[in-house]
Amino acid sequence: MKSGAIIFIIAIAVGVGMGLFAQSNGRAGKSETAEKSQTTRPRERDQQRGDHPKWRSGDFLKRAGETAEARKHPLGAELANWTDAEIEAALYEALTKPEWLLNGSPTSDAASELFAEWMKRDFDAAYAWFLGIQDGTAKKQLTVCLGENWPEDRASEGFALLRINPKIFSQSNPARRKFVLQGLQDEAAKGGAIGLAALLAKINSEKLLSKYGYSPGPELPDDFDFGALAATDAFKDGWDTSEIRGLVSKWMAKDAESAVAWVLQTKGPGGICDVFKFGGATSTYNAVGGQMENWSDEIRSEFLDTIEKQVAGQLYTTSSVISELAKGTSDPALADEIREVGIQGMFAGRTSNVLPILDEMDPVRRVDALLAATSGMPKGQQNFGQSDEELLRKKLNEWQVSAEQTEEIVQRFKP
Amino acid sequence: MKTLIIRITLVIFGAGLGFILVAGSSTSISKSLVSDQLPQSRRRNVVRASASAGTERKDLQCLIRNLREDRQKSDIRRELERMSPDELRSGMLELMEVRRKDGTSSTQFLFDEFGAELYRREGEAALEWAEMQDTVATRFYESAMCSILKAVAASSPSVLKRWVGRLPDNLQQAELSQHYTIAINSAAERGTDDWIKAAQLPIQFWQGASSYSDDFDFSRMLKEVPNGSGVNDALSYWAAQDKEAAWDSLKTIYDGGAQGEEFFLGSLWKGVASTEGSQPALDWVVSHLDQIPESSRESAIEGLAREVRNRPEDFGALLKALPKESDRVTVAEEALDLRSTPKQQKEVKAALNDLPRQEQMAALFKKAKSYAKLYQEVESKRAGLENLLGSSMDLFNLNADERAQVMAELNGSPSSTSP
Repeated sequence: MKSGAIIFIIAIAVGVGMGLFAQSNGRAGKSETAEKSQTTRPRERDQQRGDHPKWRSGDFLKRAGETAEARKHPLGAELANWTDAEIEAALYEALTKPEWLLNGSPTSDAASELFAEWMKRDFDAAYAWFLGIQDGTAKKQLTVCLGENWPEDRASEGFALLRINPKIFSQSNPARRKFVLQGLQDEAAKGGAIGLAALLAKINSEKLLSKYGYSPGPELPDDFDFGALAATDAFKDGWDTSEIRGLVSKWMAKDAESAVAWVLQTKGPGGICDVFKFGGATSTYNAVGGQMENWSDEIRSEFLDTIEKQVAGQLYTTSSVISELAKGTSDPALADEIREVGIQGMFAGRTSNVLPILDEMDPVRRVDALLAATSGMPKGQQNFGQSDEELLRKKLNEWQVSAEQTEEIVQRFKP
Repeated sequence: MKTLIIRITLVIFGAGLGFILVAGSSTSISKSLVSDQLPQSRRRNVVRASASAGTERKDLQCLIRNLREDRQKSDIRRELERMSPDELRSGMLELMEVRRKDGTSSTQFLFDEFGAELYRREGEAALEWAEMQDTVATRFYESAMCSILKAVAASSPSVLKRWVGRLPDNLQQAELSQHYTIAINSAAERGTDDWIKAAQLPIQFWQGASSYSDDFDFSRMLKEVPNGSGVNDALSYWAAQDKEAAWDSLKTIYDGGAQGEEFFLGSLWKGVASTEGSQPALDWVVSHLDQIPESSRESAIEGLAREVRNRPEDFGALLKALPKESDRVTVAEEALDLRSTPKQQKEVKAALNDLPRQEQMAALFKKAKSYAKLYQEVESKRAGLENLLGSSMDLFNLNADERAQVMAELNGSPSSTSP
């Protein structure tokens, strides 16, 4: 037995030696591989991985489209395998973390994903849990998740909650709208204009319609009677809310003549701009552009003056408005009159946005308009910079404007 | 024969055991070597592969790790890695064309991914390429530049700063804010040195990072960049973890003669309140007030009031917790500015109404004095400030004589009864 033990120890020593030998060879091999991998060029990597052709932009777009929903809930697939108890335990753990104090922390993002998944599979249990947790930063953030994932078929319960606790969402929080109002309006609209008006009046009396942001408005049946809705007090009283302006925008897209006439009559040309600000869509702009042919010079001028004043500060919203308004009319002269108001944006330093609009103008009128351009902004607010000048000169050259006129135009825009 | 078999078995077993002992350790060594040497994106793949190979743990930490990995984008990133820089550039041009035609929302996310990969490969040459693109017809220049700058922001605040300075003025303020946010967030995750560099960016908003490295030195942050973006949010976070350390650091700043930034003491309260509850946190903060030098006390209390006012339900408790009349007057004066006290904050108004008359009047006199100083500087503000003061007087239902005393203070001729 003694000799057996000696043999065993010797054998272990031999094994260690063999292991060390193999390891030293292995290390050399690994480090070579690692070094190689550091210097491997992309094309060589392609060959290594190349079991399929490289993606083209269309493949990327397709994949991005396929994963769009999944990207909104990056943990969705993983959480599908979790039990409710596991979700609840992780949520409780999350509540103890100080990371809620940090804006957009991964902890609060993960907790929102957990809560959303639980709401999806057992809303009553998730909601009861939510009601039971302490007030504070975490609950405030989970409230947003609650609103965003509130079940569409339980809108009236949401509305009841909002009535009891109106501060649950701030006015500017988009979750607030989705939380209750969208589903309720969808439901009421099925009953026609009077039913929707009654609901809007009720919500407005609770001061729960939104003063900010864009409202997509309810799904409306094809035969929805906008005229009847517009005749109600609910519609007039709620004018300064995004819900009503969203409905006017829908009306404009469906029956531009009646809708635009109603707005002009009740609110004047500025009312059209109010609708654009809170509830505009391409079809709305086109529809209004088409109606402008029928307006008096006075109304047209007042409307374009209002748009022009907005252009300087907000071109990112108004450049598309201008372009689509112009596209809506079949009168080329009117279209150019509309496009001209965009020129104000150049004084504000938005030349790259304005030039594509001017590109669509009649060349002679374009040059005349540029030669006559006068800023509506105080000098101190003008922001036509060096890059704007370079862009403008390049474009004027492309438009074959004379050197003399080019100089005159450029000087007009310099602050 | 039997002995021989036993000996052979011992030899084989011993050799095998020895081999496993050494080779096993070498496997783990080579694993760590590989993962340390691989570039970031490759390491991502290694983690992903190992995670998906077995059954994952089901806990919060695991979820957070997976969230950071963002697996939904993994195949897109893998495919981007296969492309050459030329292919990435032409891909961006094609995506821009698609966006111009149909405004597909997916293109922005893809654009950012292409931009990030191009920057990873080419560094600043990617920005130079974007800068050279035609800007007039497509706005491509701005879009490509912004996407690449996001990647720059995530890794190198100094390069970001240089390019923002180099770029012409058609980068939008909102886009710049986005880049700065990315820069400050990423730097905080890397550590204190990087965050301090990133805090030099001209950031004009107040928001903390979304996470900080485990060894982040909050004390250094307060000391070196007390005015940095998001310092107050970070202080709250720190206080929630270690209130005594946060207080010690803040006290050093007060002891050094600094007034303390706007919300410092409020941020301390907010952090402690998040773990211990509002009232215990108030009691704790108030118990430390006497340690603040007298010269800094008023501004410290103002900072506390501003933060507590964001939770109007706690405002009354704050007034009750403060030991000195001068502290309560400071808080009341701070809350009297109706421009920043929304009308719906009934709790704040109710708490102010509960103060003794002399403290209400003292707060109004103080407010009137500060307004008088303001409109001495800008006369055009006078009417607006008088209105605001009028609203404050309405809140307390002042009689005519009391109103006259306050207005006299505003006009620079205080009556004998005012302090």
